[in-house]
Amino acid sequence: MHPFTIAEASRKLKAKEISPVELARHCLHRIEVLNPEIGAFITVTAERALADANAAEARMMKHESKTPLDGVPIAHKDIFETAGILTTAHSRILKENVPTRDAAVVKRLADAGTVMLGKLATLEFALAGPSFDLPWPPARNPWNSSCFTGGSSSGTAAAVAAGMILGGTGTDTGGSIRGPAALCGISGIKPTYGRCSRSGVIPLAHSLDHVGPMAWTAEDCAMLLQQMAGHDPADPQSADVAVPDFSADIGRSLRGLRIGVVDRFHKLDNPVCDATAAAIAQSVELLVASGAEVGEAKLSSLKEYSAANRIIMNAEAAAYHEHAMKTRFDAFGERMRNRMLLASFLTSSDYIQAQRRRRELCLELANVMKDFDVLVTAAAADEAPLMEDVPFWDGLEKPGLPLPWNLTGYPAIAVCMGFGPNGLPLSIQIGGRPFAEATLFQVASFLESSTPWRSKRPSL
Amino acid sequence: MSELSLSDLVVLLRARGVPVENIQFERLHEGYLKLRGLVNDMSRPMNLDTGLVVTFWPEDSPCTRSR
Repeated sequence: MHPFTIAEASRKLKAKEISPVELARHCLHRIEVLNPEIGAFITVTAERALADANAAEARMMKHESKTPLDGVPIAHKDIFETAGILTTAHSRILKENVPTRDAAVVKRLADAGTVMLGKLATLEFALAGPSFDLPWPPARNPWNSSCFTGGSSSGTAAAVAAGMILGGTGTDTGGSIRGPAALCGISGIKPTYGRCSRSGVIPLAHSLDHVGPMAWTAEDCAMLLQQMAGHDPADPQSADVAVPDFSADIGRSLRGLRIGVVDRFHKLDNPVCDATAAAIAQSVELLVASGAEVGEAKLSSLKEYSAANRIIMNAEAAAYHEHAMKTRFDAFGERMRNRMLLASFLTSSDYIQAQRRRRELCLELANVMKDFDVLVTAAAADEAPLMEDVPFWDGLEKPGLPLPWNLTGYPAIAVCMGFGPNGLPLSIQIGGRPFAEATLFQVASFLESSTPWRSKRPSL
Repeated sequence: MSELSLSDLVVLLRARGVPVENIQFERLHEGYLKLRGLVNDMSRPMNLDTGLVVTFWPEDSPCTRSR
């Protein structure tokens, strides 16, 4: 059985060409064989998976499938609470933490009929890593296990790329869905702020945290998001807006779509490698050939967006972890301890000015988006680095390409657009208007279907 | 206001009661300077009269309009 996309699996399940139990067993086998090297899973819930799969199979035999995701194997980043199942945030602090409830999104996906295979590695508290002084190793990149996955939804990206799961959940506060998606060669979307409930998700920075799906293709992400999105009063920032059909525009012509390329982000502010520059150029050529109108979008320096994001993120994270830093300092890993110590040197004025600057940058992006339907830049500057080459102060070194979309809350998706000289994935990023995720899926799917990159899988 | 020197940083952490045994101070100070550099590089907001926006919605979104 070759690795499936969610869309393929959904069709085959519906046609009874495969069964949910077969599919679950196939994924569990891959986890058993591959996880010792890749480290994507912290907890494997094999019994739960087989129970879910059997229930899905029973529904299918009675022609009572719940949704197109019924019987589809997924897993959750280990900061999503799961009732009765260990939820660690990849930290010694929560090594014994077994929640009594499911996070809202976990429940939505379970109600959709998905098969839950377990909990996935992250950076410690979705912030600091890769770390080797925690109870579990960091996830490794399936394209080359000596390389970093990116963070913090590392396990989800690695597990999808390795074909252990067909899709999963991630969170994105400063690129934590799009970064790992980029380095592992999959698709991942940070939806609009408030689109998915964060209730039951261990926070990193409340005003920047987003929940979103990760999968092999943009179409698969649309299918997952369809079941994850929706208003939830339990999350004060949840948006009370209608959930459209996210797949509705996939396959539709791009003619007349206005696409802005944010050249300065990837040429000037965080210059990308030659291969990524070529991938962006190829994307633009394809978009022009499809009838889209392409122009340059002019925004402030990426440094501005990045600085405001990093100040707010670190300050809000420090507030969340303040008590544990006082009472369980040594239980944190070294990278996490240091990040939180640093954050304690931010002043209230720093935070307030960053929030004010954020307001201005939101207005700037809103003005630019009057002229464009989507923006294009890189999702990552280069191929994945070796684990040992990830800087200790990763995140403070260069302005982050995904950060403008966290700061403003606008949606953005990462799409694999080829492979670099080391054979590792390259990725571009497409940003859109608030609550216009369907347009992102339209453009991302067009690029995926116009290139051969989705047919190449890691050799494992 | 100037940035903390390495020795000031050590004194401050000790004064706060942070368990300092396992901290590499030089590396922490390096990170501190990177973070302060980031703060200092951010442009000062043009309008200091505007309120602090903590509860945040994307501009022009249905949420913004309904609130």
